[in-house]
Order: sequence, then C-alpha cells, then structure tokens
Amino acid sequence: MLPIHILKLIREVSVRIIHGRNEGSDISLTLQAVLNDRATMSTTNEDENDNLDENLQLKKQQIQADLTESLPMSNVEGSVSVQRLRPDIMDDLNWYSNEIDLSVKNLAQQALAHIHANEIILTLGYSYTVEQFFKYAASKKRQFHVFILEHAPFFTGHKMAVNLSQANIPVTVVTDSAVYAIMARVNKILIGTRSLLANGGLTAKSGTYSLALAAKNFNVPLLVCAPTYKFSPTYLPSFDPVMCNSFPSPENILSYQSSYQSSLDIVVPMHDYVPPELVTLIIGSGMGNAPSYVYRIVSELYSAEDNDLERS
Amino acid sequence: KSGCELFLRFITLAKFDTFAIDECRQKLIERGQVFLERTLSSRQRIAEYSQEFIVDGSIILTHSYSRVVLTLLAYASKFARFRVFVTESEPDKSGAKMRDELEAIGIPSICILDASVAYVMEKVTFVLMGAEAVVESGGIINKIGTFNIAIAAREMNKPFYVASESFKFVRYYPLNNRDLPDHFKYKASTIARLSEQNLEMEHPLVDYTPPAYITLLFTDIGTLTPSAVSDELIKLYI
Repeated sequence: MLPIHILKLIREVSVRIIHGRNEGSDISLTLQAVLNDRATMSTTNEDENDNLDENLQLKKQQIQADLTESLPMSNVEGSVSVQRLRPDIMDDLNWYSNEIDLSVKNLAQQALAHIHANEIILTLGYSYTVEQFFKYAASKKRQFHVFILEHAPFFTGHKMAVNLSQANIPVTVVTDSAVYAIMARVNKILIGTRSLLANGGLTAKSGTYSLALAAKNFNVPLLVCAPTYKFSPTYLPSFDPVMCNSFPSPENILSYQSSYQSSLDIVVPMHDYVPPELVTLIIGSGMGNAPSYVYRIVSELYSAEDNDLERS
Repeated sequence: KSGCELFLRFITLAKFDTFAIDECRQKLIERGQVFLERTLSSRQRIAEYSQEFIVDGSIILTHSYSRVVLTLLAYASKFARFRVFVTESEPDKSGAKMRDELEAIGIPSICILDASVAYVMEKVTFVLMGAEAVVESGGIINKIGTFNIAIAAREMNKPFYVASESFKFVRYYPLNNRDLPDHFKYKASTIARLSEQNLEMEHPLVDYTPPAYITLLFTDIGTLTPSAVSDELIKLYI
C-alpha cells in the first residue's frame, strides 16, 4: 500500500531528527500526511517543534529528497501513484509551513481581547510570541504597563525590555526574586512556553514554576500564549526536575577560570514543569482554552499512532 | 456490565453487505473473535504505553489485587528498578496475594495496613491503581479504600495514576459516593439476604473516586487525562 510506505518514511525521518537534537526528547517532530489512495481528501496532521524555521526547512528538504529516493522503492503500480501524490504532498507541506508562519500572527490578533486599558501585565524573559502579542495591542493604541522578570542567568528579560520600549510600551524590569513581592500589584501574567504537554502542563523557562505558584497564591490569572506548533502529545513521565531537563553550561555564573571548581557543583536547569492546575488560560491560534481541553486539540492535531514515534 | 454492553454493540453494529443468514452468523463470530483478541491484548498494550512512567528508584503505592497493575509492573520491571507498597485491603486481604505475586516476579514489595497509607505517603513517588470501572466523569469505581488513598495522595502532592482497559468504561455518572447504586456496592447475595433497611449496616465493597483526585489514566487507547475520558467513551459507544 503506497501511502503506508510514505508514512513510514516520514516517521523514520522524524525519529532521526529527534535523535539528532541534543535537547530532551519531550517534543517530537512528526509531519503526517494522511493520504487517500485514489479517492477524496487529504488531511494533514501537523506536529510542533520549538525551533520552527530550521526544522521545517530541514524537514522539507529531507522529505523531498526521500520522495525522489522512494520512487525506486515502490513497485510498478506504485511508481505511478507517487508521482500523482507528489503535488498533494507538496501542497500539504506548503500549507503546513504557512500555518506555522501565520500562527504567531493569528495569536497576536487576539491581543485586544486579553489586554485591557491601564493594566499591569507581568511577563518572564524574552518570548517572540509574547512580544508580538504586546506589539499588536500597542499598535492599536491600547495603554498598558509591562513588568518583565529579567530571567537570570540568561537575562533574556533585558532584550524583551529593549524591544518593547522601542514600540513605546512602558516597561519595568524586575529581578526574579521579587516576583512574590510585586505579585499583589499585577493584574495578569502573560508568558510564552517551550511546549505544552498533553495534560495541559507546560515545560517553560526556568523560573516559570515559582511565578505560577506566586500567581496562584494571589489569584492572578496566568495566560499562556502557545501557537499551534507548541502543542505536544507527550506526557512527562516523571516530575523530577533533574531527569527531564537540559542543562546548559554554567559559564555565565561561574567562569572556568575560577579557583573553586573542584568542590562546587553548579546546576543550571533550562526548563521548569508547570502543572495544569496553575494555568488559567491557554491562548492559541483559535481562541482561549482551558488546560483541561488541551487533550482535545492534541487529538485533532495528531493521529493517535504518532504519539510515540520511538515505539513504532 | 460495561464489557458486555460494549461487546454487544461491537458485534451488532458491524456492516452487513449481504442478507444471507449464514454469512451474517459468520461475520458475527469473526467480530466476536476480534473483540476477544483486542481485550486479551489490552493489558499488554497498557503495559507498553505506560512503562515509561515508572522510572528507576520509584516507590509505588498500590491497593489490593489488580491484574492490570500486575502486568504493568511485571513489564516495567524489565526496564527499571522500583519498590512497591501494597495495602492489605480488608476485608478479603487481597493485598497479601498481590504482594506474593510481585515477590515472585522479583519486585521488592511490602504489605502495609490500610490505616498506614497516610503514614507511608510521604515516602511514595506515585500511586498506581487498577479500576473496576471508569465512569463518565473520569472518576473510577474501585475496591473500598481507594478514595482514602486518593485524598492522602492529593494532600501530599503525589501523582495518582489509574490503569484500566477501555472495556471498563461505563455509561454512568455518579455524583458522589452515596449516589452509587446498591448492586455495585454489595454482593448480590448480600442484597438478596437483607432488606432495604438493613443494607445500611453492611460495609460497601467499592467506592467512587472523583476525577479531581486522578492525575492520569493509562488505558489501551493511550494515556488520558480524566477530562478526556468522556470523549473517548462517546467514541467507543457510537
């Protein structure tokens, strides 16, 4: 059966890409095109990925390369169908890449519904999605004030502050440790995330969990901006922060030249897990969703067989 | 009950192209076989899907005797080392049987009193249960004592996982524990023996755990959150 060959091919490529990345494997990259044999529609289920441009280009090239290779792979009656299906597949791939490009724009369009006049909004570090969100609201002449947690040790919050103030949005940069202290003054929190898990939880920048806990304590709504490609069908097998995390070099904190190296162990986790109970609303390309509804969106985006690529 | 209902639906909702009675019979039998195979392999599938949740060094709390949990733990023991606490679960002391079978597989396990669940909860990594039925709200009906454990787990922030096959999904929505019908809670012989009044004095055999206390359900159709159960239920029963 020809479509099954193609699906298998796509799955193999995806597994190779997943293994090639040095980050944790909690985000799987799958591009599934469910094709019909001769008859009617072709639907595409997409997958998410955290480094979209690079991966997408890579993916497209790989698939194109493999498609031409697969021509000899299929039999006599097969080779005719591959040629026929090829434009369909290319269409779907193009649609997929457009969807990814536009998803952030669609998300930003909803900014006016969530940001009200004279609000104080808290955010953490730098997120492209959140930046676009704020810029759109500012472009429609909405007045609001943004507090930015600087997100040590990477200090991405500084970049966010510079970008936002260029759009004439009043910003205040705050240290991470002051999050509890300022929470009483904040109206809502708007963050981006690395990925959304199938249970509605987040793997987000380190520091997000303490932000979420402080928000819960003061009953401040936590809104998460997540474009479609960030929805993941995976679950975290363990909540142990050491097991399911990646750790970059601690060079920023203590340089290699320092003299106390041998007795010191420096841990710099990249990500935090935030459980779904702490998240109020997930803003996607459609509209706002409760975290308990994420499973529905995931089941629409992915086909059930792809939830665990490593197995098949 | 739900298993039978699903079986009936499965075989009667098959498409028949011809009206010949023999072929229809044949088809019914085939469908029955498919259903049977699927249910027999469902435990293995649950084990494969959820094996990754059991990591090295886990300490697992389980309740009473459950074949699904047994299969899951037996499969996971090939990939990870872990320990198990089993509650004794009066009145039939089936927890001791579970402990014996786990030791036979080679998983270190300890049988604890039902009353010591809260005491042990701080040491535990997560709680894993079977279920006798999964209801429409996403909650479960299981051996009496399950709700106790769920409350303790919630209080100590421990994940509460339930492993159950999909044929245990039942079209029923209890509002609370009192809402459970008598024929679930007591054996048929008990109900026959006593009148309406005296049932109050009997101890129920099962209890209902609401979905708010459950973190995830491991089923043969995949890992589900409790809110996803009613969706899957509808798909099964159509």
